Amino acid sequence: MRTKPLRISCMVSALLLAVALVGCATTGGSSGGYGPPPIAEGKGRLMLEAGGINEVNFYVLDNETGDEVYSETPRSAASSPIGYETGYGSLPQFVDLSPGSYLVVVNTDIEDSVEKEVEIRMGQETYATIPIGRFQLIFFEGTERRQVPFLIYDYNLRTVLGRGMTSTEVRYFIVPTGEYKVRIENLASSGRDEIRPVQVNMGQTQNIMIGETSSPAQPGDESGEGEQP
Amino acid sequence: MKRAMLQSGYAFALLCGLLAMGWGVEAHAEPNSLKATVIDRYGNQHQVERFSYQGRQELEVYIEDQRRIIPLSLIGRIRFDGEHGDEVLAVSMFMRSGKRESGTILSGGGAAPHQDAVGGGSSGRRFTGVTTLGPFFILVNDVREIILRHPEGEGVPKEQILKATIITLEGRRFEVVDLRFRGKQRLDFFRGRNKRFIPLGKVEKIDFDDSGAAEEYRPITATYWNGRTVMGTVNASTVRLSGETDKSFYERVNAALVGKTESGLFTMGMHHIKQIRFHSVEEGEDPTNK
Repeated sequence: MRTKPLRISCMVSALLLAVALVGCATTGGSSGGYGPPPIAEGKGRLMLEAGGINEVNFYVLDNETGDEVYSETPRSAASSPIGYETGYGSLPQFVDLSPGSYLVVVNTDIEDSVEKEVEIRMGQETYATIPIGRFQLIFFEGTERRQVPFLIYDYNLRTVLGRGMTSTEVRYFIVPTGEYKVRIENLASSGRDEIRPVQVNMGQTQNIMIGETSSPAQPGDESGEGEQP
Repeated sequence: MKRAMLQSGYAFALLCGLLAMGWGVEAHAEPNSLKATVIDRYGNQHQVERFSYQGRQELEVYIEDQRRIIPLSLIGRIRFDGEHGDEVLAVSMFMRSGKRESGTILSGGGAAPHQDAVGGGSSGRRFTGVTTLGPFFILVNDVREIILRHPEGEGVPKEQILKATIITLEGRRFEVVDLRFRGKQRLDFFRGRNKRFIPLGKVEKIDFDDSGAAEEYRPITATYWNGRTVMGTVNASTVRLSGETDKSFYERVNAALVGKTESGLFTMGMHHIKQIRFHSVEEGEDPTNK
């Protein structure tokens, strides 16, 4: 007779454990404000995996209807003089979508965009790997950084793929992985006409300095300062 | 007996929980089921899965001196000619549709990693994938032939040969086949500051607004075959950019649209066009068969 309540309590415990496991699974450790929020009910999650770049312009097309179901444009155009990095998000970009087949289009700072077909399943996270990378072009005139326009070419220098504007702040240009060339023709002001190769790999950054002045004195250099009498 | 039932009850409850947990946290990446047999210059064969070109499912080649991005899903076999170390290799692509394309591909030659590349720069263009021995990569320079093995049951994607009538602002008409916009069968346009594209194969006509003929961006209205209408602006700039060469300037301004006419190559700039009327074309039709 005593075993009946015990059995019931054991069954209840097991079910509570099951419920707790489900709870852990669906929240994914996001409680407390860290990480992405839980997936919306009846939807699946698309997460962009772009080699550490957590801010790209992208949109999502429904493969069945061709309609645009989501769009995000946090970055300004590469050629915009007011464009600068306002800071990258700490989390990869994501969007919750109804289950189905979609086309994700990531716009870069050149003509070529990156597209991925994804299948979204209810309650699941789908990672779309976006093969893009970034580079930074820093132009010095004397000792100061300047804003100058430049062109992004294919490696063969046959086709202009895009335009950009250097910045006095930190500013990256996002392009599909590959090799390119950038050209700055600034003859009127600085007398420079520079063509530099750019090698963009996923998750890597290339900094290109043009007109860079000599680096500041390092400890141990014979600068005359701090010398002992 | 009762004990056995009780145990099975616990097991069932726990199984439910575990299954629910698995269902809840499961995450998956998009499938890349492309397989390939890669034959290097020494004749060695490598069976590669999750095959890609620098992480991308497309190939950047030059056909008739024009840059083209060709999806690997369209290609059946690729053959590379030329000497090891050449910066540009001749490439022959045997498409799944039966068509053959010849062009050139940049191999990177003997380039060294750039001194400014942060994070371990790599040199040369490469194909990557996975073999039974682990991660695989091979430089384009080292490849002789690639035989792509597409997923079983996947239909052969058909290449559309676009035919269109192009009417200029002056009223001249051109019958063009194999029409492409900057090497692609899609027209990039802007909706506000958002860049979008129109697949030319799904469009009946594109009207260019008169009022914007002298402006950098011309308003357009595209009408799809299904009656849908899309409006936006296209870049029709004729201003020469600082750093542009004569050739690249000419191509950007006067050869935005490229195709073939009966008399030869056809090129036109966006600032000249009044309307493009597309013809419904049989997929895979050879434009040379008149």
